[in-house]
Amino acid sequence: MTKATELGRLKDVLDAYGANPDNWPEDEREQLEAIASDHETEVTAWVEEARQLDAVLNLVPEANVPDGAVDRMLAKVTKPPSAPVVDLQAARSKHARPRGGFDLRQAVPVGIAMAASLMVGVLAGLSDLTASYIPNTGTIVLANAGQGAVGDNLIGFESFTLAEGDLQ
Amino acid sequence: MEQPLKSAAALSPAAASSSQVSHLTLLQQVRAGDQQAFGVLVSELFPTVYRAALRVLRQEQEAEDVAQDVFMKIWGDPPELRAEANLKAWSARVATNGAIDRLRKKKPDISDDLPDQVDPAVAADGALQADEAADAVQQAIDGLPERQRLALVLTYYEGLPNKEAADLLEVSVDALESLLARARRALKAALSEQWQGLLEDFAQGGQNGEGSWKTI
Repeated sequence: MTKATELGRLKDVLDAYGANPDNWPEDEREQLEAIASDHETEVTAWVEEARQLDAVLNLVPEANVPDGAVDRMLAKVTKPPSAPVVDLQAARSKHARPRGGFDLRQAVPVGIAMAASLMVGVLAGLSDLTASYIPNTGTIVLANAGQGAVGDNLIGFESFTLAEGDLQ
Repeated sequence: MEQPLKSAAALSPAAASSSQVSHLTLLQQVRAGDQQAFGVLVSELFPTVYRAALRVLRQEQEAEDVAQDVFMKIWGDPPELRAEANLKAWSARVATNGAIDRLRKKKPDISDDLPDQVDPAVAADGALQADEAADAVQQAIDGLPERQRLALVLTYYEGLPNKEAADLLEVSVDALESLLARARRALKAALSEQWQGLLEDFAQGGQNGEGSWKTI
């Protein structure tokens, strides 16, 4: 390695890591210290400049640890795993039957199903009646009540309806 | 019945003397589920861990969160360290890694595209507080482009070997040295007006330097 290359590398290291050899790359430290020592006059200004910047960097104080931080840490880290949170009141209202043995929420679907059956029966009967009055148009068709029909979601199956003009 | 956990500061003199026991011994006790030993360990290591995270993140709450992660790891899965290993250095590195990860999630593009100068707003603010030498320097460091600041923090303040710092920043060692040199130049430029005052402050024994340099 030429002298210029050696000095160039020393300058780069001083510019990057500062004047303290402890901060220099470990694998180059010994060699660079020897170069600095051999060329003391030439490198004095560089070293001094790096030292000044190190000095300024060393003015930054250590941060204070916030009060109570250690105790907060211990409390959080060693906290035993918590049992699953159960909302007893919510669980009770969800699963328990109302007093008196009658559960309205269970009765509603049953009622809807019964009403649907009734409607089917009425329509079937009506078809017989209309067939007798209007012999040529008296066909009851099974049709989807379409989006937004009130009964769709409640009953859960297709509604029966009359084809347009069947009862005219 | 399990005794409430206390930090070293709150332990009895006898228990506090256990803080003299080597970290590795404490670690073995922690591995056996000894909460008291863990309390001593946390008390001794917390400042190092917290400061390492704070230097990177610059936010106290986030630094505490990172420290919590580190101690959660030590408590939940104590590291297997060799006899000569330095638990303090190990925990500082874990904290630094955790802080860098966290920073990267917040700023996926930690960039160095900014010009080699300190943020003017920070520099101006620093100039207003020139009587506080440490504040001025800290603000100048905070005003550096992120990767330059991290390069400086990791190598100068945390003392990481260059290869390790470069890996953390996902750059080559050459690029790390370039970042460091630019950071130092930028700091000197930003603090040029206060430069002599800062050196005098240092000569009078300011902060970490205690007015002395190691000579080469």
